[in-house]
Amino acid sequence: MKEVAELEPKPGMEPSAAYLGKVLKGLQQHPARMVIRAAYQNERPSEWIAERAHIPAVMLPFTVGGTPQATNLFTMFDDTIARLLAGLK
Amino acid sequence: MNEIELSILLPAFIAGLLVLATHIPFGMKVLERGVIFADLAVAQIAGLGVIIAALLDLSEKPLLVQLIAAASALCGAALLAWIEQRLAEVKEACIGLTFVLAASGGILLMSRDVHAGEHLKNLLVGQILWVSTNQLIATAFLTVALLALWQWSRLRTHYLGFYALFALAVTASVQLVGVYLVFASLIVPALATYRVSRRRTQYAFVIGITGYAVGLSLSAWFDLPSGATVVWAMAATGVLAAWLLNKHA
Repeated sequence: MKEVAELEPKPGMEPSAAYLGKVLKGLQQHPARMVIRAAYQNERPSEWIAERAHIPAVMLPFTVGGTPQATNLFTMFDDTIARLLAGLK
Repeated sequence: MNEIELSILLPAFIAGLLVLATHIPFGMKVLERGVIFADLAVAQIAGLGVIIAALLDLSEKPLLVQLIAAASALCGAALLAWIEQRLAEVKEACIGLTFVLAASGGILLMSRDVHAGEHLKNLLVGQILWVSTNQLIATAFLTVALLALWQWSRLRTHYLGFYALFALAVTASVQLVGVYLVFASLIVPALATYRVSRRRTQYAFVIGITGYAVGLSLSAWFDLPSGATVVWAMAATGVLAAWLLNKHA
């Protein structure tokens, strides 16, 4: 797994239009397979980039309880892998 | 500014125009009635509705979330109309109190929610760049409907009617651009043209539109967060316009 770009370089701080332009341009040259966010994060940024770069947005549980399926450490990893694989399709 | 940046800024600019379309006439009315903080109170109550919807695990059903947000904003509108009628001499204090209660009520509710801080912050800042095409279309329809009601019905002169239209407009705009920009769009154009009697609405729109255009461009050129930049650009435009208008008056 390789990180191509980051949507919010300063956590909690809204990115600028200039930065997002750079990310979109970068994605045209080095297309990413998907955009990943943790369950607790706002879905709008990743849905925004998914719509523009035509890549799937994948939400991962991040911790036990993050998704209804992630009830313990084992199911958390199962669910994470299942969601990543679903994003690859 | 290159093509990609333009494709990022254009939807944000359209969102700004949609917000201005309803908020400039509302803002003048709000200023006239002396209920400046009504928008913060209504927005916060709508936000409370969104939080309740999230707690009920309805995030997967966006339409239902919107209905709950609109319903709670309308309840807030009813409360504000009641305050203005019955507690007229202390209305600003009561409206402020409503805002604080809704805001801290949100914190109490969210202490049980994993998404807590994120939700709260998203309500306040940092959303204008993330607008999606669907959101713009939905808001455009709502804007047309609200403006038609505003223009051709007697709702705006009625206590509850005014707050009901206002509540629906604010519920949509807060989710589109955040509370700070909603407040700026409502107050800056109305305040800057306060003393203008001829063509006030036109001047107000020029100020609002210039604020969004300049703010979004500055945020792209100087790599600044967009929402906050637009608020400052609009305030600066307002001050400049008020000065020019008074000089010529």
